[in-house]
Amino acid sequence: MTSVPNPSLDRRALLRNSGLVLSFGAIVAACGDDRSGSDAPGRLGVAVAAPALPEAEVDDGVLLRTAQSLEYTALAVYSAAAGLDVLDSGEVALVERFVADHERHAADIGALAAGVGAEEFACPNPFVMDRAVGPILDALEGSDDLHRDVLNIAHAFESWAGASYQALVGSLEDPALRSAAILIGGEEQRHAAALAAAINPDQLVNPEMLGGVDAPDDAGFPVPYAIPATFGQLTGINLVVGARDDEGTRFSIQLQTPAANSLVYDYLSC
Amino acid sequence: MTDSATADHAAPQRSTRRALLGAGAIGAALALAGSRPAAAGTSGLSENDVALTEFAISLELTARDLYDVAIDAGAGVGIWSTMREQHGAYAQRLAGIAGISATLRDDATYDLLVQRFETSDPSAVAYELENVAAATHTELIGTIEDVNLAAAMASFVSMESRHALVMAALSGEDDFDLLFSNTATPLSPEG
Repeated sequence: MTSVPNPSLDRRALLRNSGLVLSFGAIVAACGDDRSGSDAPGRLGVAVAAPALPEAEVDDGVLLRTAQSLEYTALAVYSAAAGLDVLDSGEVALVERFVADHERHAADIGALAAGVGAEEFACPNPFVMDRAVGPILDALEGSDDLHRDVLNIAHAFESWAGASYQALVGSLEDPALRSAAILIGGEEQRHAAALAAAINPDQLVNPEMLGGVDAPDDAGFPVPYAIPATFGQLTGINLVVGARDDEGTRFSIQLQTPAANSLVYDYLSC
Repeated sequence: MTDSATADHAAPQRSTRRALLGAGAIGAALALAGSRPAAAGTSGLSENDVALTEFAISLELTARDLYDVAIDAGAGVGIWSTMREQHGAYAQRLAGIAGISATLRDDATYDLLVQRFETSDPSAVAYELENVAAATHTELIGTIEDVNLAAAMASFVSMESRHALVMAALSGEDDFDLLFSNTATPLSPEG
């Protein structure tokens, strides 16, 4: 007779089956109703627990405080740019006008915020300063063309301010505040258009709108246009500054209109 | 628009921007456009929002047609055809949101301005027109209830503000107050 191994007594099968029984047992045990312990997510290591963020509501007051912080951010950018002393007299006159406009906008928005019971926020946006302005200014160290960089920075921030006010129209509850916001936004757009025309006077209209192609210039910088699109855009605004690094690339960043991380909630103070 | 509307607001020979804006002539003419009954919308907008949208559409179509006149008068394509297309797109955008047709130009306002656009360089009058358009949309945003309409108009204000700056620059304007502020009187359906 030929001996036939009994599959049920095979060693590997025995181990496999016992493992299956153990696993199944663990699942059954986990489904029990007498378990206890922390519901917190599992953690590795001994790092300090993340602080709990305060509950915060996004209302017209928060949005106006945020808008005011953008004005102070623009003022901080211009203040830093002025210290570089690279603009000619005509450009300085332009910037001085823009600074005066931003100061007026900041005061107007502050009054609107107070009008809805919110506390004014008369300082730059902390998130934008940390995540955008600081790194941008750091990237100017060793720049191969500070004049170019300062104009591009001013253009990007004015475009960003204009887009931010446009975005606020879709978020503010009170129609009167929407109107007030876009009134200021329109002025920021004029600033941006003037800077675009100064940087790129030969192409006032984005060539894409005329059937051409919009591409970075030969040095890799986005090309600004006084009339960049059919509709006001809310997409990120690309900014490239500084000298090429060892790998041949320059510092680049995208400025975004205010969102959850950059809103100036009620619990924030200057 | 009626013939009487045109006759009532026959174009006086205004030659300066300040005269045009100060007199509010465009506003008076467009007030008639806004006084017609609102069509029933299919978009769920209030009757008031539909009426304001029709008013805004008539302004945009008037601007589109005025740039056509300049192009035919020798202004050429390039930036002028861009301006024409911009305003046509704004009218279509509003019509799409409101579910109404974008067909009614305001003939009275068109007649008021058409002679000044019959030139190869309409930049000075275009500056006025763009400022009026931006100011009017800004005002409407404060009245319109529907947030999508308001957001669309805000995107027009963003670009019409840029248009105005470019037109001013093309016309040789270098007064910062005129370049960077909009001093135009907004038009309104009530006049």
